[in-house]
Amino acid sequence: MIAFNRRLALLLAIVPLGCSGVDVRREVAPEFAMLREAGLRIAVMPFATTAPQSGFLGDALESLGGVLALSANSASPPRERVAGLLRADVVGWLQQTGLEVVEPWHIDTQLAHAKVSPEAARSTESAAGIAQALGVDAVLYGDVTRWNRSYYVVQSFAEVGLHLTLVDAGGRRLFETERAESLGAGIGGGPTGYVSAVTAPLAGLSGEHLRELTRSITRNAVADLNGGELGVVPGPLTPKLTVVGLAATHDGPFRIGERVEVIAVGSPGCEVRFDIGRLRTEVPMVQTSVMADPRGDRATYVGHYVLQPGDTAVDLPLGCTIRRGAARRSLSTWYRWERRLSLDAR
Amino acid sequence: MRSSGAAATVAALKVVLLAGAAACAGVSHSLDPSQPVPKSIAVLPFAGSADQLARDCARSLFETRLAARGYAVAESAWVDRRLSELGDLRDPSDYMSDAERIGEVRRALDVDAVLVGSAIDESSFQWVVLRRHSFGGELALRGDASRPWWRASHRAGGFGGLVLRSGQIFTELRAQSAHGTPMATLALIDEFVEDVVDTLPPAPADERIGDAPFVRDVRLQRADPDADRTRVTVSATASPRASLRFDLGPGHIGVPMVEDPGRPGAFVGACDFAAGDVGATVTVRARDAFGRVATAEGAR
Repeated sequence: MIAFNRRLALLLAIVPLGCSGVDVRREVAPEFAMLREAGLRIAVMPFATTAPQSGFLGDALESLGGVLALSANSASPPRERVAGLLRADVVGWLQQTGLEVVEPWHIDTQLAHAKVSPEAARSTESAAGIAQALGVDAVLYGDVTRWNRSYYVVQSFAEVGLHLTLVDAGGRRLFETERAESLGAGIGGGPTGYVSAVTAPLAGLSGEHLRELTRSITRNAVADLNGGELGVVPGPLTPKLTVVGLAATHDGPFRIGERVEVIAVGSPGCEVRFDIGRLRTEVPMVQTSVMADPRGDRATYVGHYVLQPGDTAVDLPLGCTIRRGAARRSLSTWYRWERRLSLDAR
Repeated sequence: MRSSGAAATVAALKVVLLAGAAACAGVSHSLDPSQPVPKSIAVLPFAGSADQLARDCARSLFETRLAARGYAVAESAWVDRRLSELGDLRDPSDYMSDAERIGEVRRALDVDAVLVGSAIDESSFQWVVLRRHSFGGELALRGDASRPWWRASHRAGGFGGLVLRSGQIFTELRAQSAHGTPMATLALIDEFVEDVVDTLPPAPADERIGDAPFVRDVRLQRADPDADRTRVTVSATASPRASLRFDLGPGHIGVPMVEDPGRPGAFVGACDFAAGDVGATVTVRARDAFGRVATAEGAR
């Protein structure tokens, strides 16, 4: 009887082993390695969740509650929360690659301002326009293709699938990976025991295990994108500004001794400078406050330039550069105010 | 049979288009040997229908490659500041050089020749299975003569594939924060610039550009325009036409200074502090057209 039980246990263990693990599909454009080496700047779009409804792991979200509350809006529908969680993971892992990654809050803000629909934001057809608008070299799209449970005899599996597509500013598909990873509960070596696997197949999949699975699949997908193992130390995200303008309205040209006061709002802890055309450039600004936000903190920067004799020009554009220093490189972005200003310091 | 006929037609068209592209591959250029070879060059902002980021990138690459061929090339930030002070440059995105003022501009920039880029454009088309993408324009190096010393016209193009000849383009991109331009465009700019610069003779050997910059007599002057703030005015004497900046403690690093139009070499700049928050020492840096730097300190 004991021998029979052993044989049965072995058989039951073999069945799920054949169904678990990792499934990967990858396509890489020949030039991608070169571009990646050069430090491509990318924007990670909000992910979609197209996992089948049948067996959707909605209940598992509760066990991830703490994590989801931090990384995605807990009031959102389950599919959005799953997408938000995996997107945050992907962005986190991308910081350990040579790619420059734009802060997600900036992307979300820009998409909202531009009234880009969620469907358009998740369509690879939008890549060229989005790349231009966000000032990035390529756009990364993500789709959670599996967030489901499956049953194999007395073994249950949680399966997470992720599809990443990287499209450059010209609409060229640079990289694509489709990856599915699963974690079993039950006889096959999962976290539940032999008996409990039969009675409560999925209960053994704690939030911790599911979290491990999401971190694993996102890490491996990003390693695919990186063309190898990730670095040890996370790099900074590409800093961004959302607001650039004059701190106060000013009628007519600025005169000798007057201050051109500029305000900007964006990523905290950065070096920000403004340009008055190409006449007076890189005028320093200082960070005056930081506003905490679960999507990413935002800082206010102010700076001023005092007009001197000789500062005379008409209709100059105003722009700001935000820069974040890093061990490996400095990341910077230039923004333009939509109006112009004149100086008359004769 | 029908499908093989269509395939043959497409193949024939490919051959024709490829042949056309090959015919356009060379650089059309000319050189006037009667004029002296310039030692120093200023590259003016490029004009054309191409995106400004792409034009700026091409300009920056020209500067780098001309310097690599031995020419003394004025830094674009310095060139643009001078052009702005002359009233020739307002918005780089719609800059057009005035052919009648080229001589005057060259003298104001104090270089032997200016590189004028015009009709810089990018085009692409897709027909059936063919995708042609190109970047090109016209360049002229002008001194005081009515004819340019050198001129070139070229269009770099390709079908699909992306080949970067160097990593230089990305360094330039980072320096300019010029992201958002398709990589295929950048690769073509790289090719365009390299092809064109290859038609230029190397610069004369062992030619030195003028004296190194200097800065001295740094002074701070303090005033209290109101109870809440203190205005500090920094003055210095330095090489005429240099770019000057001062550092006066955190938050006031690299404040631009202005040369007095009536007193060449006399520079002044100012910034405001919260009352009682003024740094005690100031450092002034003078940078000349070719990136050479001099520094001096002053104290209250």
